[in-house]
Amino acid sequence: MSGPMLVFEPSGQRIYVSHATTVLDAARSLGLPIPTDCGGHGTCGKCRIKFQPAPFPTQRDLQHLSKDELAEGIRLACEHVIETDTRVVLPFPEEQAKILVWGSSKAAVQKLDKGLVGQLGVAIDLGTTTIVAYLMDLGTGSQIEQQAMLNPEVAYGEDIMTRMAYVMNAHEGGEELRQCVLRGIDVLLTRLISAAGVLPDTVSRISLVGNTAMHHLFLGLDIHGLSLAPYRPAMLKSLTKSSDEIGLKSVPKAQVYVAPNIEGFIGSDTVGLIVSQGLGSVKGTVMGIDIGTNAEIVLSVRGRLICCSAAAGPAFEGARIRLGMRGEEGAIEHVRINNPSEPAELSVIGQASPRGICGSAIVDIVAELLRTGLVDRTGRMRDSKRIVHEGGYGLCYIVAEPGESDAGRRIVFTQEDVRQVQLAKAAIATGAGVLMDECGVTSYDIDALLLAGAFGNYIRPESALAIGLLPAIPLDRIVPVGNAAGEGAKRFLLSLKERAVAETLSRSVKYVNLAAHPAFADRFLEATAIGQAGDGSNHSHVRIANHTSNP
Amino acid sequence: MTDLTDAMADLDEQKVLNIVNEQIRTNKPVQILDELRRGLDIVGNRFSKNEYFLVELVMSADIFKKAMAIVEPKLLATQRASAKGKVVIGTVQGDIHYIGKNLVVAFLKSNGFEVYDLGEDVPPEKFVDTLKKTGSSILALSGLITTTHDVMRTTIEALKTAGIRKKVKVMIGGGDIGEEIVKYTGADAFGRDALSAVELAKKFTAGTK
Ligand code: B12
Ligand code: FES
Repeated sequence: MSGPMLVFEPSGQRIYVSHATTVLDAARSLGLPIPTDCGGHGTCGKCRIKFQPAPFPTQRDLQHLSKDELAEGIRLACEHVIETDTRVVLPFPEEQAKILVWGSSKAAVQKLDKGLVGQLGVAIDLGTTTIVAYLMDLGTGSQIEQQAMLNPEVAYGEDIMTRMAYVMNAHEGGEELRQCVLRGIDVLLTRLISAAGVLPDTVSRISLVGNTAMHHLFLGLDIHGLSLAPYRPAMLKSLTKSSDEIGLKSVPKAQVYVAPNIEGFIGSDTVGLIVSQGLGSVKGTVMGIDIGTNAEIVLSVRGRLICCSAAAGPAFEGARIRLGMRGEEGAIEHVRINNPSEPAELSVIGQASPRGICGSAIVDIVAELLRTGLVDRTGRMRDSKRIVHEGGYGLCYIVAEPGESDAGRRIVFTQEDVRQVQLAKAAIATGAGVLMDECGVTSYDIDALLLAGAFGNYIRPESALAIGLLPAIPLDRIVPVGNAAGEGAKRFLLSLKERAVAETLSRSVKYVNLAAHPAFADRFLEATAIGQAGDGSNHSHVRIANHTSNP
Repeated sequence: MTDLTDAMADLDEQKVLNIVNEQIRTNKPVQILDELRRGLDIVGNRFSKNEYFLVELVMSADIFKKAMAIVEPKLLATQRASAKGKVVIGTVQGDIHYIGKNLVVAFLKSNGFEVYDLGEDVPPEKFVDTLKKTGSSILALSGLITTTHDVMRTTIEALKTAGIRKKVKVMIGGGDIGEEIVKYTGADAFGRDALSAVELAKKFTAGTK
């Protein structure tokens, strides 16, 4: 073997690398997730890992890393190729990641398919960030095991567009990503099988839901149409194939059912949400929101379904937030400000000292800053005891000073972070508002608001209401439903009837294209105000939409 | 700083219009315009520093437009026609995001540029045609999604094919655009916000004169 050896800790995986392979590339080739927002361009500063020995820092390292970090040997993984044998330590062993696996379903599955006694199946929710798999008894419909992991494709970019750009530019990029996700799923399947102590051949069915982009990458479909306006998917309908044809190796006897998508940016995960929550047959008015990098919003008025996808951006997943991180050990998950000039009250995931801020705390912070007057409705921070100028970041709210709540370093929430939350919040609130308008209902009419997905499950609904992320409804109408997409996948696994329901519903849902909605831009701008619309916003009507014709 | 500049910077619409209405009788319209633009610059700066956000930016352009409606008729024909330069702008093909682009348009216009806004999802040929037709020497491309970096590149290549690349300065902006994307696409410069778009346009025109 030529080239130096690179060892990844804590897993101990090793690889010989050429002089052209960055550490990030090497990690990708092994399916090891290193966080990146920029996809390896050296602009996001998130791919920080520890090098032993540490190479000479690059310009970008200096830009993104503190003196202490540099001294510790932390460097950006996308910036370095190695010249001598090197050991690198990946920051977050994924076992510590807090991945949402529970979910609640409406009424029980209509009917289990007959003749499957003794057979097993696996329901998979293939998310952009995480993959969750449930091992089910096909005869009884009960769950035996569950497993979750970060989607290894994360190494190719946090959001789907960055991944798609990779696929289009890299030689055989599509195949590389397909293999990457297949490897990940095989790992999960193997874990499920061994945890349950069953034979691989007893797994006879797999069902899979995911957003349209994940679906396309999983099947190795052409993503050119999906990656640029008008964002046409290559395939919407469902598909059933053998595990061999799909390329899964761990369960040779399984038939894989891939659920249908609704639109380019509304995938079968949303179909899973609709079916598992019985949205096709509700009596009143129910809204379901799955907040991720894209928020899929579904509104059902007496079973009539309408949906949209609001491009919130990854702020609530901790990306684009200066000290944002996923909900892992060491992430601050909730924040309360009792006295604006005193340290805030923090709760942190795991037994660790706080390292960063995850989505639920991000919403808390903005809500608390607003409530205590440290930020006004336009989102501007006010100078005060705990709001200071820090380096190149402008005003920052000090969430914790070193020593407070056991923090090892100063943890800040910047003015720019507030702006990112405003953009994300505005996209979701406007999407929800447009759907309500289309159906002629107001927030008063909403009987229940179902929050699906990890973020929806961990946020404090009070905070989400306070910043105006959700429509103004009474707190007790907000119901976290957990991994509703996964619940849907279970139904599709157990029952062909439910698959038929999915087919029909996925065709009958009305899709609203926000990009083509004439009032979207104006409403979006107004919705950037923090708080609920109509709370006495100080800026009445702003106009930016294409109302006027060009010269 | 004058009261007018102050009022403009603080987005006090009533005050701006009052002062303009009053001064238009005695002062030179060019000077009023200048004070307004200085106020706008401050708005842009505050936005860059994150003190102002999108709504404030839109409001400022709006107030400026109203003030211009009063000042414009008093400007001499020569002053009116002396646009700083012509800019063709649009969101590139494959992308539908136009909010940021529209802000850039508003700021360019307020700063005296003649702007040809082609909207969003604009194919390369349309940029080329408009550049030729208007004789503009500045092209501003907006794109927010990663996949449009390639489209920017194709668009700029289309200028080369049409033989007008040398006559046109190209700036790009939106999303995660930085120096390497400038290199990748073959553009001349990038800007992070509406104010830097104006600064670039000024620099470009100064260079060609
Ligand atoms: C609003 C929004 C939308 C609106 C667009 C409304 C409209 N017509 O413009 C809607 C909801 C329709 C939308 C749709 C999509 N969006 Co969108 N959207 C956003 C959002 C929330 C804010 C963008 C925005 O308007 N910012 C405010 C403006 C003022 O900022 P700006 O555009 O950057 O402009 C400033 C500067 O960049 C600069 N500038 C801009 N242009 C230029 C040009 C020049 C020459 C210069 C010098 C400067 C300059 O000046 C401006 C003012 O300072 C972002 C997320 C985020 N948090 O940023 C996602 C985002 C941009 N969208 C994204 C995507 C992918 C989409 C979709 C294509 C897919 C999807 N669903 O996610 C869809 C389209 C599909 C469809 N059919 O709906 C992604 C891009 C990700 C990536 N890495 O590529 C983002 C980041 C969210 C995400 N999912 O991660 N989106
Ligand atoms: S800096 Fe973004 S991946 Fe390295």
